[in-house]
Amino acid sequence: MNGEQIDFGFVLPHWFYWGWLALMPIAMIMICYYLERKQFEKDGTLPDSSKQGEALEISANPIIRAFDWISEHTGQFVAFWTITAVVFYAFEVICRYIFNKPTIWVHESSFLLFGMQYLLAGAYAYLHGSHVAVDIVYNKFPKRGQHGLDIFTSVFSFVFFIVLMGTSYGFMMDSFGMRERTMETWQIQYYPVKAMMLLGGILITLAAISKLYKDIKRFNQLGRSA
Amino acid sequence: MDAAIKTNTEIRPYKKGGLFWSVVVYGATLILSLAILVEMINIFFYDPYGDDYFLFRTAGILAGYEISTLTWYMFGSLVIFLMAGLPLAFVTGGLGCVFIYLVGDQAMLNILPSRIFPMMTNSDLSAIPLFIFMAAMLERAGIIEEMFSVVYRWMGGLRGGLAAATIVASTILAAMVGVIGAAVVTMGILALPAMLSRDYDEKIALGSIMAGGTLGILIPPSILAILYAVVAQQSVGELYMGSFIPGLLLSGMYVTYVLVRSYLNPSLCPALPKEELISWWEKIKLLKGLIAPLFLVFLVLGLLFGGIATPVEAAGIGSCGSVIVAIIQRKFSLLVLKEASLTTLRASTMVLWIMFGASVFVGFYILQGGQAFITDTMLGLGLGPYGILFLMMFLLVILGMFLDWVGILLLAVPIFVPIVKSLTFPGLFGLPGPAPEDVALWFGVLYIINMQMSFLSPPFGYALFYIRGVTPPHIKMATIFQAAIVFLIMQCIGLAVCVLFPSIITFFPNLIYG
Repeated sequence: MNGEQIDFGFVLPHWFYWGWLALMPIAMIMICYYLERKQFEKDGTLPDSSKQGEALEISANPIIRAFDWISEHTGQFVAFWTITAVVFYAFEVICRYIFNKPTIWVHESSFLLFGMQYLLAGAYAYLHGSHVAVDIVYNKFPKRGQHGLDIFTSVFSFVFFIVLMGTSYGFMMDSFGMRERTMETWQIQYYPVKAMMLLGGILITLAAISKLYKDIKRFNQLGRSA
Repeated sequence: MDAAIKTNTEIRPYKKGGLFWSVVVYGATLILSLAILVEMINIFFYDPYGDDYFLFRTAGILAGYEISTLTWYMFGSLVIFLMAGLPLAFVTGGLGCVFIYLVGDQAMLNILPSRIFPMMTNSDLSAIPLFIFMAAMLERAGIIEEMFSVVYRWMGGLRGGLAAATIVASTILAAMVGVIGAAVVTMGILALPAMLSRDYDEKIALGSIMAGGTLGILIPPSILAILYAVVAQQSVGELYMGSFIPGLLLSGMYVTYVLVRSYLNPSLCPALPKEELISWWEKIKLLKGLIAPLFLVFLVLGLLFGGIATPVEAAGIGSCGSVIVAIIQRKFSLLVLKEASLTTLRASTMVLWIMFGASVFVGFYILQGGQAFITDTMLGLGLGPYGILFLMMFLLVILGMFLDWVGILLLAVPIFVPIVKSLTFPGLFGLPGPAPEDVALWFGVLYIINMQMSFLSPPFGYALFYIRGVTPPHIKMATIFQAAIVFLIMQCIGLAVCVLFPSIITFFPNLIYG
């Protein structure tokens, strides 16, 4: 800046942003795990999440169980980012109106955080069946037919995920090659955000494989007499 | 679980037809997968511009087709796979990729990240998870229960007071949340038994809960308005202001309807007996519990309408406020935070993945000239501007019967908005139409009202199913449908009023934004 220093007030260091996003959720997941166990020991109740996710079936296959574990925990991991953005935005408005000092980093850090969250949480949402489908005709099929349809149509989801992974790999490498940063004043690194498209694609592929495995298993079971 | 594992290891005979369907499903899936494998080999190992290829190559086989034919192929396959139960996000994304490859070539697939990435870095979209988080937090803070119990005490003395209280409480709630669902379910659990045990007419009781709940997507902060604004490139703030008065108008119509009907027929919705009523002093004391949530409503709407904060910042402040409300109500803990965050994550991820998928599909369709094709077709019908508007509203209602609102928004809005913008609306029956620069805003609010109707319209409206989940078994689905119809008619009237008098929508935004 040629020695000319502009005072931006407090600016969140880049290393702290990435470090916070990487470490805070791990700490939170562990604390919540501890609290849940304590609550369970005290009154034997489990928190809401176990009730909401009643459809979750635990697979016997260890690989599929590992895939589900990954989907579940990446989801919890990114879910804790939300509260960070909440605090950031409140900080921004307070800074601007009370101290008359708008920050240069709040908006960018928050919307990038959400952008990464959407992609990475695709697998979690898939595991919990949150991706909406049109079920008017689908529900009219017998149970086995529904699993059969799921097996067939899954090919198209895989096409989407494979193309997503394939194209975003090039997209990410281009960005990484030039160590791309954003055009705004804060200049946070852009390539990790783009890398999340690839990572999100990989995660949702794992979730889709797990779903396909369960469908095939149910389809075969229902095809044979009890 | 154990039993399932054990039985699976034994080889049991096929059921009748079981083997046949196994062969069909696995055969079809394998054929399709092999075709895709061949294409992947082509993409990775062969020069896309050379003449050599592995077994076969389908890239570009649809290249020379007319857009009208392509429209049939694209939307036909879309409908088929949607009906087969594949989630909307993956149908649109997958088919988008397939058609890009069939019409163009493998290089064209690279538009995928350039379609998705702008949405990851769109700052307006951050308001979606934030507003959902705010609603999830307030729900866990017990605000819905609190709201109803206060308004109920205040209005219980009137004939039809409980139904009116439900609508008023839902309206205030709608100013805090941007989705329906939680409000309908909670009101169904709280208000419905309260009304039924006091011999309220079932239809009025059910209708007021459902109609009140649908206000959530009309009255700001609404998630639908954010999405519309992003897709149609409008200002979120203006849309919020535009939808505020129509929201109050509808809410007022519902309350009036309930009160007039119960005034005319005393046995329909009897007032609470005297001994259940409380004194004015007690009523005022009750308001204490509402201070924090009402303050939050005024804060969020004030920040928005005063132009002090952008919608995203208002959402951030609102979420922060909701955490504080939860702390005041002694309902906050880390586990509550986790639950609220996970609920938020599921809802916002669902919305965003549909955006990702649909933007690939619709983006490609528009790139191929689909926009011009639809515009020409619609203009070619010779309907005039209001005829086209009516046709669009009609199509939206039909789509609303099958598709989720996010899907409708992403499939229809990018195609409809440019058509509407190109039309001039001279006004009906000698009344003034909207100013040309306000047309997009006007259509946006009409669209939101329209979507609101789709939540309530039988047979597949969401509100109907939310309430079905919590009603006592003796209430039939037919009763719920009939209850919805009256309120649906009122929504139609509200929509017609907004079409006839555009200034209801445009007055407030113009006053503030000038």
